[in-house]
Amino acid sequence: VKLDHRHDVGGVVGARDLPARGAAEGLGRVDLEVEGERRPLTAGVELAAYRTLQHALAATGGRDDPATVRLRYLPERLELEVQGSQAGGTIAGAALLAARERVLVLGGKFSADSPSPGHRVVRAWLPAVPFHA
Amino acid sequence: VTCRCRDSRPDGESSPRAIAWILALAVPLFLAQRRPVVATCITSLLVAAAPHAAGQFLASPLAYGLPVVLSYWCGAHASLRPGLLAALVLTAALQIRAGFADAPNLEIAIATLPPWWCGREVRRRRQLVRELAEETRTLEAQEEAFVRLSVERERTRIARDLHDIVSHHLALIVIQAGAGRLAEPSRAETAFDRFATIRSAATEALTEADRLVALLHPDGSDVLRLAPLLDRARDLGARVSVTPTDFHVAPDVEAVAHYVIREAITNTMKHAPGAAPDIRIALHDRTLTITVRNDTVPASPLADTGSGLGLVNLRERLGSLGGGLDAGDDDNGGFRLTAILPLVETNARETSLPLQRSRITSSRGREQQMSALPSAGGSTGSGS
Repeated sequence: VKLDHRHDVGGVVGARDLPARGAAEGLGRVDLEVEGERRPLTAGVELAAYRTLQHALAATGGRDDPATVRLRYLPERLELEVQGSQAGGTIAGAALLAARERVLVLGGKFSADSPSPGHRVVRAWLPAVPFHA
Repeated sequence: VTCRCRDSRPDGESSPRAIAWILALAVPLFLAQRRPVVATCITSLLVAAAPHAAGQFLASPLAYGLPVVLSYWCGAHASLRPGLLAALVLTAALQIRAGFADAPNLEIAIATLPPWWCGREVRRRRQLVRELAEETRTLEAQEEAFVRLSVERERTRIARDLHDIVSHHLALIVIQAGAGRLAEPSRAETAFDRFATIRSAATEALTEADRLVALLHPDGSDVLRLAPLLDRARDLGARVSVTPTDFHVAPDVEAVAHYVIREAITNTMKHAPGAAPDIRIALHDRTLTITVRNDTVPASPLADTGSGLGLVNLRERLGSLGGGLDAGDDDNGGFRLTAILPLVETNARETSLPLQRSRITSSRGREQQMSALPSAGGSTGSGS
């Protein structure tokens, strides 16, 4: 995925557009699954989640293989998981580093693994404590 | 050397001159490892010009070691041409010494050329290892630069995003406040909603602004880190206790804890100058409790300068992370402030590259940075 950092400040809500965006930019298919009840998060967390997904997708690219994006809303955090083929090269490496940085700045956790050759799983969570009025 | 002298004695031909010559033969050996070519040439000269008496020694088995060692060193510690040349010169000198009756003498050639070749191979192998090590170092440096660059680029983007968010919230606040000014004063419900919007927008903006500051500060997020602040507090005479002495919290929590302590110290200095505050930080049962208390001092000139918003702000910041604040006079006539911060995950041990650290330690000057560099191309692992 070509990352455009000037536009598309969409937050996790914008993740709904990822499948369409992926197709439009020649990435291939992106399937999106959401678990838990979707709730509004702070703008910082929303945007960080979206950026993390963008980067993770850039590192799991593959024209012919569909990538799966899973969002899981938990009481105190938002979990992200991206599965797909393992893109190589410096772009993928930089994308993973960038995704990691996004997550760590917010105090979350990040991991990227290759469970089998050619297959990549990126997992991350972001703290998303409900706002106490 | 003495051994060689004794060895030459049974033939009965040893003379002081021969002994001196044999001793002289040992001298270049000390030079051999650093300047093998020079040492070999000197030895060759000595061999060729040896007195007849010493010839006995040269014929003894012990003496065979000399050309073997020298030739090996010529191969291992000298470059190709000078080394080979020196080995050949030595071969020629030995041949001269042995006379030309059975020239070429194969034994002499075997004592010099194969060792030279062995040395040569060893030298090449060592060179290869050195080059590989050098190459590995270069690759590692490149990878490190790549990681640094990628992270820094992303940081710039994060800063831009955070700035966008803060601006957005501020714009929202301005619009809401502007609308509130024009609204009918009788409609309290609308006003309540409006203030609620303003409040949450302001809190979010504050949080993101903190992150931005931490991100942009040249030496990392030190501005919002607890350890340096606690050190400064100690310098001001505060009693500080942290239990357990070493633990980790998420950057958000640390930033808010920093804010609480900073405010508490400011308050103490303002309302009770000279009273050393007592700062206690305790992590227990996934809850961070910060207690700051101080004795009151009557009549401080600065006591009335505050806006009274300090505690309100504190409460807001703590509320944004699900925490709370309790402040007031304590039983001993002092002032006491207790802040509670629940932790989502206490083991947020993983931190980013050096610029983003989140580790609290009570001891001063201790290495506080933890970073796990992910490999650029392959899997970026960090078990959770």
